[in-house]
Amino acid sequence: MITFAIRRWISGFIVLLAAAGLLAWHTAHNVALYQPVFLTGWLLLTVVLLLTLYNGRKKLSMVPMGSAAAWLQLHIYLGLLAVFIFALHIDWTLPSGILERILALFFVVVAGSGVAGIYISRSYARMLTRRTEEVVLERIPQFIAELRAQAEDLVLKSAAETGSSTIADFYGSRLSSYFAAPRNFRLHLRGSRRASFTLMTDMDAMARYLNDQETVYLEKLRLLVERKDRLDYAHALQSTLKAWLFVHLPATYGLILLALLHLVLVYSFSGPR
Amino acid sequence: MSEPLQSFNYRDSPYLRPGQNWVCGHASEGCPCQIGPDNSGHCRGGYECSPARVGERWNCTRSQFSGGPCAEGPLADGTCCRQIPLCRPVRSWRARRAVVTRWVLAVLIGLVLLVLASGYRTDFINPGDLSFQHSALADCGSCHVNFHEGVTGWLRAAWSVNNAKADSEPCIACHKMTDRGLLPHNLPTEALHDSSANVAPATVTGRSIGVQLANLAFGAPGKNDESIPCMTCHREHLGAEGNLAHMSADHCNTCHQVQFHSLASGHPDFVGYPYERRTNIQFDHTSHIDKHFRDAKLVALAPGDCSDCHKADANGRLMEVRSFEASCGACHAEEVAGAGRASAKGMAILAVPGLDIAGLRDKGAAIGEWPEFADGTVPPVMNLLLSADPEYRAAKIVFDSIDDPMDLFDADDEQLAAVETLAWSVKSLLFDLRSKGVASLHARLHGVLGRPLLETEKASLTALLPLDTIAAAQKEWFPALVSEIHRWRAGDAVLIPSEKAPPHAAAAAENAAENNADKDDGGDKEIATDKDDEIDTDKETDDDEIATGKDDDDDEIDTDKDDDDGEIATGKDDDDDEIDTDKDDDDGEIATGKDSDGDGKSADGGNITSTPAIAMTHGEDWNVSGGWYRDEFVLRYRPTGHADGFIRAWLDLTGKSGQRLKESSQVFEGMIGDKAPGLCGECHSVDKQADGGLLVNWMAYRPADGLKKSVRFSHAAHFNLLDKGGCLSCHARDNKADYASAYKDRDPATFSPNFKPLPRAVCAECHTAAKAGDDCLTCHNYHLGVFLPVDTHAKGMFKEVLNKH
Repeated sequence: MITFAIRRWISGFIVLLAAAGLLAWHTAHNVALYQPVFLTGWLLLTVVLLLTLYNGRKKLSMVPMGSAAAWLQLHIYLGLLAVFIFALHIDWTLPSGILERILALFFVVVAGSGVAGIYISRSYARMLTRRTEEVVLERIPQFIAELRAQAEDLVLKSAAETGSSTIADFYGSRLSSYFAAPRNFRLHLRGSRRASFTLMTDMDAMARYLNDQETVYLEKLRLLVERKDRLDYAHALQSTLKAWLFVHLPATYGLILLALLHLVLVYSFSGPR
Repeated sequence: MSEPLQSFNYRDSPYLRPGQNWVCGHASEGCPCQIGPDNSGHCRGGYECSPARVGERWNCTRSQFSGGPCAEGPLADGTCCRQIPLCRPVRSWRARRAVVTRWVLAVLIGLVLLVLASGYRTDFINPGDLSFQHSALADCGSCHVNFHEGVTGWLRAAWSVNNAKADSEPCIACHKMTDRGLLPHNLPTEALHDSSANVAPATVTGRSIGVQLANLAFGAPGKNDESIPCMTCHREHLGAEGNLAHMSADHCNTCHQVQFHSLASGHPDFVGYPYERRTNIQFDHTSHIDKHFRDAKLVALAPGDCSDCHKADANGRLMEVRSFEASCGACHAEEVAGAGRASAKGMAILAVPGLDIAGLRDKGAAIGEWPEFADGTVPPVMNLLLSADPEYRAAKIVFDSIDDPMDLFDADDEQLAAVETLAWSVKSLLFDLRSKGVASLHARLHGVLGRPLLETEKASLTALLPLDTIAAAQKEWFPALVSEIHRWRAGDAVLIPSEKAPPHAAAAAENAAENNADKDDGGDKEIATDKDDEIDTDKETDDDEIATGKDDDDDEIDTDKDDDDGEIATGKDDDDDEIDTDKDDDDGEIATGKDSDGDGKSADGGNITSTPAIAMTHGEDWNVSGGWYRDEFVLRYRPTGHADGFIRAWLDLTGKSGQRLKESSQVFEGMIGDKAPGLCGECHSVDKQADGGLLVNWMAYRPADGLKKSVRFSHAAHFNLLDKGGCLSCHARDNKADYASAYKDRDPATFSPNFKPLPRAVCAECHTAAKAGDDCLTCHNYHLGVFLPVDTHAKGMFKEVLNKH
């Protein structure tokens, strides 16, 4: 049984091996005066196109081309190799041409967002598992609506049965906006629970003014607030899990476009030996 | 733990389609419809179910996900009673990502097209600033031949396989790399192969990892003749400080058949470096240092150290030899000018060859008047001038076969004919020279060499030969030259005058005629037409000269008398006219200041007094600073000292043509010989050229402008490394070398230097990667040959201006 750690070591070793081989091949080209930029350039373009195929693979889920997990592994480690090829291609220095700098910027954005994506995918998934139940991002608005309905129903019942508007007032002033939509996005991304803690503290502060009957409703309301907080947490993290692709994918296609322009210009004005 | 938000089962978990582009607008309210928007994002609205008719009744078919059949049930007409309010569908996450991607691409394409169509195109595609050497090139088309062909042209060019070579053409043109610009080391293929074949082996074999990889990937170095585009090694657009000429040792090693690690480890030992060829100036350091400089008489003149004779050039690279005056002149200047020379100080240029006049007279040889006491041979220069005439050349062969031209009693007819031809050739030469001047010599050289002389050659080859010298020589050697030449050319047999005939009868008449000719138009025309109106009219007047007492026109008022100018000059009575006329003109007395004939009178008829006599000098002593002079029947030229233009011009001329002209070669050998006047050959070495010609090395070695040799070395950069031994720290003397003998074969490659070859270890001591660097280019040039500076861009500007007007 190959564990995740072992698989990571094997994949990392393969990437290192490939990088070493590439470095040797690059050195051979360089020493033999065969302009290794053409070697690394073509290699980089090929790798980028291969990496882009991963997106296509996701769209063609019905075609049996290996598991998505295997593709993802290939995408991750090939991406790391692409970073090394890129470094060789630009000779470990910042390009000085405008087009080349933009191109390099696009690559950095693609690679950076990719690395960030891996980190997010790995860490957020764990965080979600620890704090929330498994919910589909698209359904979260629906769940929030349901919680809102439950909370409003609870508040109305409380007012009717206890004849006190304390809970209703509190809901109106503090909780109605809270239940209206996903809240505290940034705080949840940072892993902070301050917002929830503040609400709970306020509810605790209010509790001293409630009678026993109202206290029962308050506890039920507290449970709804806690569930809403977990939903907000799930919404924040899952949204981010999807949002980084808004950078990664457009930048990838922009990179390919500029790379093709770069390729034409390079061959127009120099060409390999 | 509270109850879960959702339960995943087929009833409670409706199937979502995140791949769809549009999502129901009510989803955010928690109650999406089951139908969902269409593919275009339009709400399909409608009802919560489509009632099904069972018999006469309509049954509700609402989905379990929507709460199951409703309590109200369908309307009577079968319409669902629960209408779904219309919504504004929203894009799914995936669709939103696709939209963003398309927008980014569209904006990017638009921007790129906009920039490419604008004036910022060049800045946009420029991959980086040029090196400072090329920074003035504002037009990309200066180097990239396709640049001005526009975007479509660029696309076409991108498919071309020869862009790199095409873009190298402007480099080659600007840097004047010639047609070998792209060849490895700019060497012809044969030369490259020869170098490879003769290369010294590595002292320690070994290759860096990079070289091993390159050889593994692309094969071992072989005889690769393919051209190498400039950009293979020269990477541009790396900024102002970019190093265009960077090459690592590995780059060199990968192509070279002898591969090694570094100068210290593996570099072939130096073979004779830096003494690759013999020095241009033959200077034996050993004999000078060990012998001459220790001579008590010369110690004061001897140099103190190497720098007294050598100095670094402007670049600090080459140790040049100082000028002759600074380094050699103190001891050798007078010697070059002829001081202390036992034989004649001037070299024979023209001469009257000695002939057996009595014998020729007896045999009736028709050579006209010939000086009886001439006993010389034909000098090489004169021989060369005469050799333009094929008849002379043929005659000279026969003449040279005569054992002794001074004894021709036994000469056969062929030999006599050869003597006659030679005699008239000599006379013709003198006649032409007398009548046409030095231009006749130029014409003869033109005939010999087969090419016209350059103006500089004309001036140098005749060294301002004065008319008076030639005129005096002609009058003394062949007084009746003009009439004899006329008669000979008219076909007359001009016999040698009999011994009893007054020798100067014809000469007197000729002098008179010549003087008249000199008086009017120079005489050439008159000689040609044989008309002298003054002779006819006898109206030559020397009134002015009589009045002034000066003989301005050198015609000697008394034309019946012999011109004794030469005699006055030399103090000799060459023409023996005193014997004939029995008159004593006191020439000798004028010269010596003594009344040698005892007549008690000086030349001017006065009594000899005790006035100190003028010490008259003549010939080569007169020309102590060089020049032309007559030595009896020989016209000589004495060198003016070091760097005499006359000798240099003749050596240069005859050296080039010596291979195909025997006469020319004789002149060269006569002038370059160790004992020849000027002593040129003593120090100036002679190199045999590929075409067989000979080149005299007038100057010590100086590299040609723009010359790039395989090894480069800066002496100045190493001065501070020298110890007390000075230059000898590196240039160790080799006292046993036979330096002088190496010059005999005239092969510049033959060399036996006074110094031992430089050991590689001396350089390797400092030139390591950690200290002074040991890249190949530290000491070697890649491009070999002469590369002149880059051309200006103003070429042809004058023509352009003219065309505009």
